[in-house]
Amino acid sequence: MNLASLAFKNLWYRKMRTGLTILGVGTSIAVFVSLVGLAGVFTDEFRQMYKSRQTDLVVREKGNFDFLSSGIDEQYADKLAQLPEVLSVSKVLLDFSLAGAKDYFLVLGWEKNSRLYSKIKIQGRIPQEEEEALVGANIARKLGKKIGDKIEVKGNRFTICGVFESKSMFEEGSVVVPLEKLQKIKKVPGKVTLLNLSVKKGGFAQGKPVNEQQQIEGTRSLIAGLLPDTEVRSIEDIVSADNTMTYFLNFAWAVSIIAFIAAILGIINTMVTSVLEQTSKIGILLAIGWRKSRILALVLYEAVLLGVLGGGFGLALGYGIMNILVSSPQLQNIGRIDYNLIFMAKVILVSLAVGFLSGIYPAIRAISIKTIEALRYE
Amino acid sequence: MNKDCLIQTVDLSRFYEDGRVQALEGVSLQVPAGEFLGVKGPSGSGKSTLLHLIGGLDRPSSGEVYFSGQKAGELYRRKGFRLNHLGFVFQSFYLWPVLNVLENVSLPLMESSLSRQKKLQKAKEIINLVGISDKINASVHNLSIGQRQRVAIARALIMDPQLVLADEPTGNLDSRNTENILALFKTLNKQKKVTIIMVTHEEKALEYCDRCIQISDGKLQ
Repeated sequence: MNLASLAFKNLWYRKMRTGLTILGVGTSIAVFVSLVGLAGVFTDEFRQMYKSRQTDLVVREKGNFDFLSSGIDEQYADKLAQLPEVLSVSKVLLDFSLAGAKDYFLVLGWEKNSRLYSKIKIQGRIPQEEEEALVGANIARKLGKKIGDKIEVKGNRFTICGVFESKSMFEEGSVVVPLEKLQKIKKVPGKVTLLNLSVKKGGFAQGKPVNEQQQIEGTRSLIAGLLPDTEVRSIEDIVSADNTMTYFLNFAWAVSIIAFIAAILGIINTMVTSVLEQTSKIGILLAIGWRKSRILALVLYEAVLLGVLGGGFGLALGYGIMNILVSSPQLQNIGRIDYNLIFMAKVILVSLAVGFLSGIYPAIRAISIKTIEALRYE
Repeated sequence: MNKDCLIQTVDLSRFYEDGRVQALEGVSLQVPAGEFLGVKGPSGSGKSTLLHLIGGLDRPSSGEVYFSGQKAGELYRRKGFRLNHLGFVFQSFYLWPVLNVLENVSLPLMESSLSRQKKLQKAKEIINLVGISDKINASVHNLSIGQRQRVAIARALIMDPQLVLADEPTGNLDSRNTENILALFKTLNKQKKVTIIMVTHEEKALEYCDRCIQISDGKLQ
């Protein structure tokens, strides 16, 4: 018999209390897993959307953090395309449109000859006419639309000329319409939300291969000087600076911290009750010569076990909740769940820390009991 | 100090509530090694207090306890001293309900550096000695009251202590179990040469002791 098995037996002896505590801790951990996990799913999808387009830099209006209201002159694209450092420039206009009473989808305005079409898998064809639209597979499935059907985008009827699949589920939940048409609908002629840039990479300088990141950074500085009313950002900058994602991640952490505090209080309550109940048993351990450090370790073991068991349960529950949320009609285009082992290991470590922190007060309380008073407790 | 005595108390007193309650007053006592000493007295007379002070579970208000001629207070603070030299048996047994007989008896061994094999062997030997080897893996819930006290006695003896302090060990037992437990104490005292100080208020229990002292109103009579 060792301390760990004694701690486990102690918990097993009080099955109901242990079960309820694990349920409480697990629920708190599940809140963390599902909210932070969803934020991660959202961020990964956003990043994937740019990566699938082989976008290195994004040019957008300076100082306007709102994607929907920001806009830059589309002629900037022609200027940038002439730079020897730039491989390609794609114009994108963004908006949202309602689908039915509650749902909405992303609307992308692309040029007819946009390079972005080559990054998606199209069944049907690219829009040729103003009233034609290319519909993401997700949104087509959700709305029950197929090629030849009509779809309403911001009050305008479009004929579906194709359905597309993308590496990004976020993109698969969107509808692509001709850029000029969306500019008319939004009443922003000559404006685009952003420009997607691919930088020319590779080559040698002074006999050594050129660092791609340095090439991207160099091009970014060049454009920033050339177009001072714009800001040029790398994909990672955009992902980390996106307001919606930042708010969601902050919200996820805030709720998670409250949930962690609830978990810590739950374990403290369980362990203090346990220590009180076992006062006389702790007294006999002190009487027979157990060191206080061993009793401290026993209580901490129990608390850590509660934390880790709660963490394991919370992890399973959290991923279950995420699966339900991601497959719900409202969020089905948000992305794919990444069963990241490092994230799971971190969750278990956090649970362990929650258990340890929760065990400190009850453990100190246990070793503060005077032997003779402990033995008289019953 | 009398170095031939295992335990000696000199003018031992214990007061509570800033001296308003006097539990023990000026008790001087000598207990030679190997003696089975009975301490009798009415409830609240201070006999348990004396036992707790001898065992270092409580601190005296004045006076001193000596263990083999050395100040007990200093010895008891040494790492592992109490574990290896003292055993306690109480009226309420204080067994861990989550553990079986073997595990309860082995609790003191968790502080020992013996190998797992030796620990198991030692525990089995002592369980056999107290006569409950057929219950070795039984839950303490499934034991009779007498068997539970035998588990507590085995736990007290497993580290081969020089001194066993028993506080009303038969207080919860019926007459048959009382006699069995007292006979067991006597056997252990003779076989293992362990010094036993037993607090009791039962006259019959004192028949098993080598010597008996009486405490009344906190004073040695």
